[in-house]
Amino acid sequence: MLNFILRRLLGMIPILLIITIIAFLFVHLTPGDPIRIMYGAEIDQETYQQMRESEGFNDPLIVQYGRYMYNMTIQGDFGQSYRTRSDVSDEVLRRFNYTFVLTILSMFWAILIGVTVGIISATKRNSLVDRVGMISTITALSIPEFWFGLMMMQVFAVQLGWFPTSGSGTWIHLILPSLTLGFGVAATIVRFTRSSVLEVLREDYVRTARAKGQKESVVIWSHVLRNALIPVVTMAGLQFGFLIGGAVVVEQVFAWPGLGSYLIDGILTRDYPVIQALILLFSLQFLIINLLVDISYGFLNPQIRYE
Amino acid sequence: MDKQKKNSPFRIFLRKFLKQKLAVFAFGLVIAIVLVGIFGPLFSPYDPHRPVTAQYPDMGIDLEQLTSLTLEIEGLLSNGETIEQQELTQIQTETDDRRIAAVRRSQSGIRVSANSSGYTDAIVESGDVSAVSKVLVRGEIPLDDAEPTISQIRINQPDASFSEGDSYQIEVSALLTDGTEITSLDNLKELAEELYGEEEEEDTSGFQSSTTNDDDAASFQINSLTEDTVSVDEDGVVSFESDGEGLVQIQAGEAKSLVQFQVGPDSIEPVLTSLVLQSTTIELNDAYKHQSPSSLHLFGTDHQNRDILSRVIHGTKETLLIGFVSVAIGTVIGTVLGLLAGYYGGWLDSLVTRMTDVLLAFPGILLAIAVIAFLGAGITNIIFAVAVFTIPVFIRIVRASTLSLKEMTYVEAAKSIGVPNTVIIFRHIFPGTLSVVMVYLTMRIGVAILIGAALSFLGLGGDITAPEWGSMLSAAKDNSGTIFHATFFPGLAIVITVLSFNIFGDGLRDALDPKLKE
Repeated sequence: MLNFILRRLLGMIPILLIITIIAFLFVHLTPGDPIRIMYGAEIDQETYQQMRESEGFNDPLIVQYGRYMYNMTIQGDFGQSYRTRSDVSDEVLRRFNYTFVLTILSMFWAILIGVTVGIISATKRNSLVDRVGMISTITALSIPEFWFGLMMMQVFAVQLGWFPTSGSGTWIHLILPSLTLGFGVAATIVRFTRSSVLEVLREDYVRTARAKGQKESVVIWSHVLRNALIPVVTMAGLQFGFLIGGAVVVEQVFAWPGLGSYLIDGILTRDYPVIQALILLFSLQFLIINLLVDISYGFLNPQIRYE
Repeated sequence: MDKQKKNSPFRIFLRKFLKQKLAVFAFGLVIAIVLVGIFGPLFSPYDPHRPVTAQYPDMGIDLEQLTSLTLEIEGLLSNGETIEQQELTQIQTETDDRRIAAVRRSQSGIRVSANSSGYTDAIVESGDVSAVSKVLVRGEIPLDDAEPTISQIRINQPDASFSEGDSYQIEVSALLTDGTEITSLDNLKELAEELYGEEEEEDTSGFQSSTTNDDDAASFQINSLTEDTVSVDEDGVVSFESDGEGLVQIQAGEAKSLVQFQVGPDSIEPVLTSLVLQSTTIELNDAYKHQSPSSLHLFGTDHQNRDILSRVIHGTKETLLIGFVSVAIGTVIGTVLGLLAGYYGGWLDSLVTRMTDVLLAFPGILLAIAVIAFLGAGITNIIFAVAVFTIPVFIRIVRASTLSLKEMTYVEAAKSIGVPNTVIIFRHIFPGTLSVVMVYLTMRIGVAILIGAALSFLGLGGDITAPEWGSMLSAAKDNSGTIFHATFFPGLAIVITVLSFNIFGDGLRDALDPKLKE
């Protein structure tokens, strides 16, 4: 097991290196001169040259990359935002909490709704509930998150006035964005839970349990769910990555000051250090999530052996 | 022969597909949406780029009709007679807030025209008397908190003449803009203090728009206009001091009325004592912004008063273009790479698979955002971005299906008679992968449309004024957050389109699935 984790960690290194190179080249491959973006087009040629020199843009690329890696890994310095001149790492840390809270709560909704509906659908197969549930999920998967968010806002914030329309501050601000973000994943979890439970229901040991006169509720709770929910947990873990992607959009809808809106603002204003840092951060997140999911297979299902 | 034809794979597929009613329906919808995308612009009722108010003249719609209303007025004389509005002289009209509505005199009365949604008071004045009507312009701004104001004051006109030294108690009633009546002077005074007293509302917007003179709107005043003949105290008791004509004016808010007294024996000319408006509340529609859905605009209009239905129709083309082109690019590249990797194997295969794994580890939308970050905002770049995350999906499925087809006897046979590799790939293997490619193609179009709309919603589509569903929603979020129809319809269009493609794709998959019984 330890061996496997080590091997996976080592395997991440080349991918991370490639991603840092891509992120680094970002500034150099994209149109637009960073000095001009930082100081505007007005500065004269002499100051421009000075700036280029002092910011180190005149060094060979490999030296610049080395400095970039050194600053980042040893000093934890991701550079400064072109626009606000503030440290990107500070801003990222501050906003990370917002995105983290949002995704965690969304995952909670997604699992709560997804697993409940999934189990009901599977145990009452082909009933009206099941049919409605299945039609709802395929519809849910076709609804853009941002529109769902806008509609939630219309109904619960504008018409009913139960929640604030946007912004952050209290936990009430968190309800609508997290429900919006969670609902797409909930639909995926419903389908997955349903098929997983149906599969387990076909197993011999379920038939045996029923044959020996076990109460149906006990059969479902301790025989079926225990086994059926293992893949659901891993799948839910994998969905975390997609939650982070969806968070970018949902944050924009509800003006939630997380990493996603930072990224979009960065792209729209060509704030390359911000984009660089966030691309790295997001990539790292996915690599870690995938690793954790792989490891969790082993804990949840002892049948899997890592060779 | 006949039997063989009947059981051809295509026939079986067709039979299986037609059995799925929902999928067939979705297929019909897909066709309809594509037709709208191609021919829709020819039939769209309005130009999607211009405000509809600018297009009304060309279409023969009278804007005045939509936004204005004529109000009849008449004057009440002290001798009890009424006079028609034509005979009223010196009529002055104004509104409290000209940004909301304007009022002017017209042939048949007073014409009130709406400018933007909200509420204001229209004041009609003739000499020393005036009356007020509340103007409600329906639209973006909710009108729930519009308070009634005092519309008309009616003072009982005494018939008898008075003589010096007498005193008289004035009897007053008033009509509010919501139709309620106030029947005593004290109540009127109280209400006027409450409505107009203390804080005169400051115009905080910075545009001191109208000529409204705030001093005019005194909370409550009762005074004598002819100080020599009559005097009046604030409880409405009039004392007559010398012979002649006495006039007392009562003002509450913007409404003013007179009462005339004949003091002494000399008869006097009747004067205009009050104005009567046909109705105390005027309801209009704001036709300049955010029109609600109506027969004129089925989906309403947006913040720039553009017809949303027309914009949705025009946006179909753009949205389908993003979906089709990006998936086409992704399919072609993905299929070729998948075929090559699957057929040749070796280092090419491991390189391609590794790349696919990395790309698939990222959620589609983030991958697309990263591509946009590289290329910059714009519709073409959105297409590219969506194509990039479509590629790995096709590589994976085509590679898998190539791996199994490669082991087929007919491929081995072709190889053994020396058919070149390229011919084997495209003639013998590629057709075998087609069915699964077709299924994924339809399913991915839905996803591509979703991601494309999300990207333009995020403002990465470049032109934010373009009639594209995602950017329409983005603009609606920023400019019409409280307007339901502006955010509802473009999103509904996305949902219907994506849902149709998804259900159609599901149906195709089931029909091509050999395990599924006929």
